[in-house]
Amino acid sequence: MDSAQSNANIARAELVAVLQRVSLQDRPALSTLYKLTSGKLFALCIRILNDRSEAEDVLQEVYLTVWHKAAQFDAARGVSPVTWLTAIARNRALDRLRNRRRSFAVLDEAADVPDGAPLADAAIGAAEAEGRLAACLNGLDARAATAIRAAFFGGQTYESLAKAVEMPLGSMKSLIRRSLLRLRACLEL
Amino acid sequence: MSGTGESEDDFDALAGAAALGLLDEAERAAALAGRDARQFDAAMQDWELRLMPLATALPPVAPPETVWLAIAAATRPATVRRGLWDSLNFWRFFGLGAGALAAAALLVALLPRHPAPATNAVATLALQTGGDFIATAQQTGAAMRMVITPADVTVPSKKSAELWLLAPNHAPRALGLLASNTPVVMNITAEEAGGPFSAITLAVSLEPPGGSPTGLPTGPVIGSGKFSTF
Repeated sequence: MDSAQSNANIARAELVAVLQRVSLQDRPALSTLYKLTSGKLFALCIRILNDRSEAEDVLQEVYLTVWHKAAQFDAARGVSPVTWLTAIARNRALDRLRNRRRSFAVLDEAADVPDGAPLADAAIGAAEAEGRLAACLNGLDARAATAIRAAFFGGQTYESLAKAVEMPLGSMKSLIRRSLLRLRACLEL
Repeated sequence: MSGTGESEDDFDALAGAAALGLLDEAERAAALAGRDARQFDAAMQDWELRLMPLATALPPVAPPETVWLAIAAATRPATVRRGLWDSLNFWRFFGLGAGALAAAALLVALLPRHPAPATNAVATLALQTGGDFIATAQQTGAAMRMVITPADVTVPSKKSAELWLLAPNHAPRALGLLASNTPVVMNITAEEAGGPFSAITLAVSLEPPGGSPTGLPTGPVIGSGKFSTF
């Protein structure tokens, strides 16, 4: 294990401990969690909502959700605390963006998660995961990589993605389908 | 991992598109036809996790302080949320008076200085929850030493009583936690005090165990008092 990996593991273990204290309604722990993570989550909310004031509202909602649901975080599932928090923030921001209900997978509803293969996220640090995903995306058709990145941050449809690169709708759908499968294969290598 | 069959791939690619928010209701219903919805949700979550590094890779942006203050207020325990003296109003009230006090402090600062002997002062903080904290202080040169003695004080269980120093033109300064059954000694410098005794007010607020998580009072102010020199 190299030292970057070791540091990532230490940071992760600290966050797991902080989340456990938050689940016991420990307010100083919530303050610590906020100091450690709010910058990243605020950046995500701004990226999705493109509106600082709405992003502030959602950020507040996210930490109140965490305050009430921290007990649902289960390190044993293999999801890192940063990923768990980021998923909550993304889903909250996307909910706000759509402003209407549609079913999205929500990691904060832990009870619904069936047992499955260990999640790849558990084994590697955030920086390494970011580098690996970026490399795999860069290996795709550039239009597909751009479309997947844009769609991840919400507010896109097949139509809007197709229009952006002047591609027929059906072609965009099959390009995304092919590219997602290639991406999955690349990440599993 | 999932099978490599055409229909498994279709299913997983649709779950990926769903995780990207690209499926409308009809497409989602078609993907789910004859399938377990939980299996589809699990596949979507796998896609969320695969793609989540796109989010964690964003450079952080510091949120404004107001977001944390709102979170701190919303997570305050219900039992102390309604103090006899609402803390926000208290701090606003003090803020209004700070200008006049600042003028007085400036006047004092402009007076010629002489090597001063020790100055003694006392402040009584009558608590709305019953009892008093009595602060006796002595300033010698730049050093200020305070002893805060409880008298018939009861601090609610699962709360800490925290002492604050209020000086003109300064944010409330946390001095430390007070005990309900034993005197507590605090040493600060005259500079940290932000003014002479005549300009200092002490206040006690109820905070979560271990003290305010924000560095500013978050709970109700249960007592305050000004120093009188003697």
